Amino acid sequence: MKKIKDERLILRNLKNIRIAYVIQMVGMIIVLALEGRENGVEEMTSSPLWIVLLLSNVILILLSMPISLQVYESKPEKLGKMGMISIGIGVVAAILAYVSGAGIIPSALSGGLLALIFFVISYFTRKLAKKYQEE
Amino acid sequence: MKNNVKLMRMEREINQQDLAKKTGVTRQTISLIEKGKYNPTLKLCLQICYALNTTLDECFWIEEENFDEEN
Repeated sequence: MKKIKDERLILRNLKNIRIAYVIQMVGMIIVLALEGRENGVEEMTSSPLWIVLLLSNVILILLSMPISLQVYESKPEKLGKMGMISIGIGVVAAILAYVSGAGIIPSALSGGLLALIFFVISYFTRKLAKKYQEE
Repeated sequence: MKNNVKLMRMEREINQQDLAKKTGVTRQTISLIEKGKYNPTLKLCLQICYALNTTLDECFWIEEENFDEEN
């Protein structure tokens, strides 16, 4: 297949991919919803389609981050404040996990993991915000 | 957006296909630019200017009072 060099066609191609992506997403959600209605939520969440849906949305959010940062021109937060918020989120998640029946260690692990993920994401967001502020 | 690409091209007796070849786009894109139905990037504008041996000013400049009418 010949590589498209025409900028207008590249843009059009991207728009077509966006339409296909929306159709694919809607289709996946419908299939998962039907599966959830017929076999229950647990069956639905154990489906590989569910993982694909989650993964693609997480990637979409991560890729959209630099765009929203440029649109809203948010100021970079202080590291200490970000750390405190991350710990807070981790503690709340751990308590929720414990209340819903998980053991102490799994609850603490999931809380810690969530706090770590949140902190890493906030750290990179801060780094990007700083970079855009300097540009 | 309105431009002088068609005029410049005709003056130099170059057809759309040749201009498209020189700038690395399709003939349809050149046609749409000439009709004002597609706004090329600055990079493509420059490539068109180089191919037609002209300047951005001559080829794409629009006076401010006309600019509002166009958009």
